[in-house]
Amino acid sequence: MGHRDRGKIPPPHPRKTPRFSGALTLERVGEIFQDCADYATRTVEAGGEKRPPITLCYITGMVKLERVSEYILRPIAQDETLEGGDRQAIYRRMADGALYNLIVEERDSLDQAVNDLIAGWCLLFFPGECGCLSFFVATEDKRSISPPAGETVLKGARDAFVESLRTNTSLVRRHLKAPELKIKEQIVGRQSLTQVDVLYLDGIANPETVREVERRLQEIDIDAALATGNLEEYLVDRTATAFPLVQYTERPDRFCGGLAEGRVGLLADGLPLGYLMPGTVSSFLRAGQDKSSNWMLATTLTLLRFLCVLITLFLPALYIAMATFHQEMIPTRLALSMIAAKRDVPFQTVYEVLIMLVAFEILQEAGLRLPQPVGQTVSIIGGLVVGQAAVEAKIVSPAVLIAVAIAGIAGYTAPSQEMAAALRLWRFLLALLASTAGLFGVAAGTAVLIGHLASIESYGVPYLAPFAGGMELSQAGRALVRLPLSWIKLRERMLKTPNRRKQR
Amino acid sequence: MKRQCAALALSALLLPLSGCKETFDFLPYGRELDDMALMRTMGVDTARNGVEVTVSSGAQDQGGGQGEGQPTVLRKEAGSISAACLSMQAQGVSYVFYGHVGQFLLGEELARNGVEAALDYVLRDIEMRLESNLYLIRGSRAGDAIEAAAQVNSATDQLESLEADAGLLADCMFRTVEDVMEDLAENGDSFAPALTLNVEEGQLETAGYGLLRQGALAGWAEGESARGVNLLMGWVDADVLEVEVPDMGKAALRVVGAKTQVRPVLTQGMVTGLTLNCKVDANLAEGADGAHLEDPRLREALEAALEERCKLRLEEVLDLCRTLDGDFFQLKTQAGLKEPWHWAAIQAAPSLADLDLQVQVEGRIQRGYNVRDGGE
Repeated sequence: MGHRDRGKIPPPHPRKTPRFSGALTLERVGEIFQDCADYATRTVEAGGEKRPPITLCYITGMVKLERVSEYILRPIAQDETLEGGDRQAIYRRMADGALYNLIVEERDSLDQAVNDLIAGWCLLFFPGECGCLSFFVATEDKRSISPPAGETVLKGARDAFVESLRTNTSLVRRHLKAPELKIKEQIVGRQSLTQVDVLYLDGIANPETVREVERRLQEIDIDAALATGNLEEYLVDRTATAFPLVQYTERPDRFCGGLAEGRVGLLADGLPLGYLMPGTVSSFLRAGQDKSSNWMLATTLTLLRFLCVLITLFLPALYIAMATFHQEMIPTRLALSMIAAKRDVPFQTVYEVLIMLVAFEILQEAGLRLPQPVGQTVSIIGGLVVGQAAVEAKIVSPAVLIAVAIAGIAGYTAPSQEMAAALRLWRFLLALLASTAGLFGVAAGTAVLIGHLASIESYGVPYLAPFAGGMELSQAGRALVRLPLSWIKLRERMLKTPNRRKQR
Repeated sequence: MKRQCAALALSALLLPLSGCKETFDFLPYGRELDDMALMRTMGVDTARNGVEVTVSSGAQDQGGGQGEGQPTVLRKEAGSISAACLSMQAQGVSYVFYGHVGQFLLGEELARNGVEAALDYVLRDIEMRLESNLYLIRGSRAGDAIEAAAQVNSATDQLESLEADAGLLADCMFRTVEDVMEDLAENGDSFAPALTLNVEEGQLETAGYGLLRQGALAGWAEGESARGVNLLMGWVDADVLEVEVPDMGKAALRVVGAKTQVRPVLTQGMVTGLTLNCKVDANLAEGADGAHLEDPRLREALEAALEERCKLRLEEVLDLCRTLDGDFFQLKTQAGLKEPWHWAAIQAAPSLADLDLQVQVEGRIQRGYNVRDGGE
């Protein structure tokens, strides 16, 4: 936003706490939930006919009705000890356990009671009493735990995070049974009041990182934390970069692996994924499957992934540079093949490559937005049929098609789709630079890219660590070579964990 | 500050729209690959006004399943190779590109006048490659050889076939411009493979080696002496020796390995000669009246015959060095590298013609191709 506009926007509006003030009464609650179709009340006779009825209020859809009926209404109707006596005594008996519900709280603040209602509690109002009893009877309707959709598991746990925060924390607890696992909760979003939990292993995670995550969460003052970006963009050190700075995963086992390494985790209600901080280049190129595979295979695949990063980033740019400026670099027979293939193609090489890169992005975007079967059809039609037709119609040469396709497919080997997307953006930039100045342009673009990556930090950890940031060569080697797990005695230095030793 | 940087960046981005082409003169000039004619063979000859340069593209795929077209051959005379190459740009629509010249041919006349100017062009030109193979055309002009070959297929194809079959041909091996230039920079002498033109068939054929003395062609090594060069350099991929074994008839030996070491011979601190120690390995390919290698007499007789033939070959090479007074094969340098503590003495030694050159050959028959022969 420009300086001129800054004067026009209203000053920051402080978050109103408490949101609702005044006495906690049934009437006041009714006023607050006026025009809310899902707000419901039920009056119940308790303590004999001569006494005024008590009122139960709740929000339909948020509470489990069977639980209300069984644990609250049935004891009120059948428990003889709740008959007779004064209203104060009955209230006290109910608060002390006459009703079977596991969680019951006494509320005397209107704000707290209203929040309870929204969270799936029901409130029991006694006429003449200041305050109410609040029973946790929230419905447990949620998506069942299913295999992760975005992270393929060949060998390993097949559970994935769901939208329910408590289910997710329970999944983490089941994998990490250590009492040192701490879960600190904050509420984010003025309107969404989203519960966000910070998870870490006490004594292993860097306390500075934990404090920093909590501080950044506290500073978030938004209407609603509904999408992943609502949190991510507030949690990262820098938004002016295409590269992801916090790692996310759908898999609890991978999330717990990160916590055990000394990272700090974050779970948000409504989001079926967990974040791990800090994130570095090496962490985004490490697949969850690596630790399940043989170390030699995992190492080979890791090296292949790094190679694919280079291919996806540089291949189109190098193709343009070599085909337009540095033809002597191309092996003679390949150059002859390329010349033969490019005959009658009307576009310059740079436009051919850019057209294909854009077409590739369009196809990918179309495939993602459509239902899966349709998306696959679009990919097949786009990739094979249109590609083949474009070559036969001499709109693009086969060599360009192959180069762009290899670069595109190589990008899919990145375990993090966000990292792959960042590489795709830079691929365009490098291709443009290559079309301007050949290899000099590519070299200049690479220098800018390295400079950019070197300038980024994630929670105090250099983004290029362990390849940069004063780490030892052995640390950099560990990012490339997955040694047998029994050889890895220490946690990564870059995470600044207070306890580096992970095994004897 | 941010706004100023953004404005500067935007201005830089809009510069290409200014029409000021000179603004971007520092950027490399791009050319489309399909607008190029890739020249793959270049021949240089002497001419009345300087040099005559002939280039050939080799047969090229026309694309679209049209098969291969005729090779493009361009010929131009000028005061220098650079000028001739530049003037060729006007001979066709495509840009003539010399970055893929893989064979560099020099006519005999030019070679006798000196090859250094031509090689210097390869060194200095931004498109030419030092990795190009160098050939001397014996008995004709390089341009004629290229044109004659183009009538059949192309000089490029013929030479590439020869290079691919180098392991199957015993006549000569291949050297790059860089190899020859290194030798010339070392002591002014070198050698390069030679080709002859079979005019009737339009074929280029191997013809041993041309010997360069002080940068100019001084003589040829052919036949046994060319094979001696191969022994000296360890290039014996396709050498079959036919030897006469007493009481056992003819036998064919396939030479499978040769390693020659050159050592200085010193007398009172002065280098008075060089000794060539050559170890040759061969396999019994055929003959010897079906005798087995387990027979020690046969093995000894074969090894003696092998040593004798190889010694003769190497002596022919040394005779050429003596006769032409040139260290074409960097024998002194090899001796110096073998015994570096005598480097200064070796450098101060007289020319090869004045040195005592001795050859010692140690032959070894490894095995026969008959399974009953077995190995050692």
